[in-house]
Amino acid sequence: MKTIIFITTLLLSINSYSQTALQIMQQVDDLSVASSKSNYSIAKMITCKTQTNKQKLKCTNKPRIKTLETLGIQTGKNNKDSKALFILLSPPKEAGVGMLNFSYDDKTRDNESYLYLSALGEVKRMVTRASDNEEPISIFGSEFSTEDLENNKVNNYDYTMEQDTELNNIKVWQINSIPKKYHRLKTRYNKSISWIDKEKLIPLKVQTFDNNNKQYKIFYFDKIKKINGFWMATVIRVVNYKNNRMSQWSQQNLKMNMPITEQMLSPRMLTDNVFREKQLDKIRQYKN
Amino acid sequence: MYLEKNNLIKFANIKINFCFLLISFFVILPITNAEIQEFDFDEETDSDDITKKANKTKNWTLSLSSYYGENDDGIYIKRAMAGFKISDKINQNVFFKLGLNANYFNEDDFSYPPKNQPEWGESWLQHKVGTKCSAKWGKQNISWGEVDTTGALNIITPNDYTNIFTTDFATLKNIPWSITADCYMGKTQIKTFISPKAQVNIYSKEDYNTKLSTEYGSKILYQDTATTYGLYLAKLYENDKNLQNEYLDFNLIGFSYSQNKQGWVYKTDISYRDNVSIINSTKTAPRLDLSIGAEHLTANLHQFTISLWAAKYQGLEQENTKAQQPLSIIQWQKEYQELSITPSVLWLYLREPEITLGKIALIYNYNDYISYDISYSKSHSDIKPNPISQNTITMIGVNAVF
Repeated sequence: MKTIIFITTLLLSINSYSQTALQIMQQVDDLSVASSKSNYSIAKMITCKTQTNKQKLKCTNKPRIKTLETLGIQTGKNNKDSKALFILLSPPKEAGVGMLNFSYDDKTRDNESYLYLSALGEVKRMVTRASDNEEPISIFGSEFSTEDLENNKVNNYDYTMEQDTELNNIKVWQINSIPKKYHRLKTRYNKSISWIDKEKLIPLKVQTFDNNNKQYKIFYFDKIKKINGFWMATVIRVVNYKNNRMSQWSQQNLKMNMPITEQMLSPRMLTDNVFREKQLDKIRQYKN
Repeated sequence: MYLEKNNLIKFANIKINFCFLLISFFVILPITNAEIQEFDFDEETDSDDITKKANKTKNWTLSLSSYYGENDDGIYIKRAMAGFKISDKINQNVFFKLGLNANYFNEDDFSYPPKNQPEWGESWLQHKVGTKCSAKWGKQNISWGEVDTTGALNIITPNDYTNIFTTDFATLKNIPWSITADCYMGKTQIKTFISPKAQVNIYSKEDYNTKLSTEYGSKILYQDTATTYGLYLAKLYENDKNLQNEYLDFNLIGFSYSQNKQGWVYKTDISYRDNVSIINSTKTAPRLDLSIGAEHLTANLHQFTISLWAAKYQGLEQENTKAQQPLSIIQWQKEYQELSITPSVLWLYLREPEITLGKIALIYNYNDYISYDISYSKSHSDIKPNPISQNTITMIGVNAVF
């Protein structure tokens, strides 16, 4: 659940002058990690099939809507590892399904995912991503994948400054990212272009390309608010140009710097209802 | 008559929905590469009151489903089911779940005459015991072992073969009333259960009246990075009766292991039973069981499951090797999110009693609440009628969860 992180937690404002693309992206990543040390949120994820008409993106079917309660922390050396818990609150037939993600910065260590199926009372291991040929998977049927939800591993990419420009009347840097050779097999994106808000130091848009250099997904960051001193996109949309679907992740009740312990992100949170409710209540009662 | 009409409506609905699917597939225009300036969603998509709505998330669900199926001789499945579930915390230390099911079986259904009265679904009360443990009292699914659908360790919750399944064997479960205690100590979890009246595999209404005594057991799981080890000890009853019409009790010791590697989950269950019935024999013998399995989920949502199970009786005569019970299951499914459909293929082979089953199924999620499923299976079997032993079954169903 570097999840919510990429998704929610994006950075603060720092005056920046002439910097290299790498320095900028390092700042973006550092601030992303700093702002997502221990967060709680209620989120709504909407997914639908889409079409564009006069530059307006429309859902062409009734959107599928999921509501989730999420917890996440940054942990490990230099806070580069992350642990996150997602509990589905709706729709009714999926309520109670939980997912626990452990993501490690150490390339030699397998990431771990556990899926709790409430109807069976069973926890299933899902995937790891330590191997080179393993692919990211969709998060609860949305267009967000496990890869999208991780913080950028800055050292895995080469960056070039494309241009100083404007996006929707906001001054931005347009920066290209190319995965380094050793990382190419681990990512589904052969290249990405990020539009970074110069003032807030957060991405406003990220365009990605597949291995054939065809447009793949575009991420749009919207409803940017300053929360606990950090500028955050509270709504993130991803449009997948391969399957003409889009997902929107919007969150409210985001609580930062919560006293979230490692115990609150253990497999026990998936199977022990009493324990889970008690731990979540401790966090729910806090006000930001 | 009502059901016949209902089934016609169901068929009509399915046809309409498939037409809708096909039309959608060809008519919906692809998104262009033009710069998107605006997102236009209906109703609540952009609302700011997510928290308020999330807090209103109800703690109950109502499910309705109806199934109709035919085999070589005509109507085979004809039933409607309703279920109600509610779960919530009573206070900081107590949580409950209550489930009630009501089933209606038409006289043409293979399980007729059934128990037509309402039944308990999963219903339990859970409370904390100290800081590391919790106890759960009531009707609950007890999952043992790592390899699903095989019989080396996954035997505490038997099957009710008067139920039906499309792709998920879990819908066949005959959930026992029991008391369980779970303790979590770092990477170690200890789970103990005691079922005052052991449950058995159900093939017909008469099997519900089976009276068995207590069974109990414990498992210790140790989870390390990408690996889980398990140790199991239990006193259990066999889930099927032997030639003397008895359910034999036995002691079991088992071990399980699972590991994630390169996107696959590899699983192994091993168990030793001190005295069990030999199939198609009046004799008993100790038995060693081995189940191995592998699961893989790709980025494109292809899911592969392979499970193999074999057993070896100690001192069994050479000519009775069929009783070694080799079971093989291979399953594939893929979720096509853009079409809201999930096709699947299942192949199952059990050597003794002999069952060979091939099944293709399609689940269509019409929306977040309603889904349809249709399946076609062909099998050969020499055991009494149950959903996985008839020659050819075509089944359709509609499910709604609110």
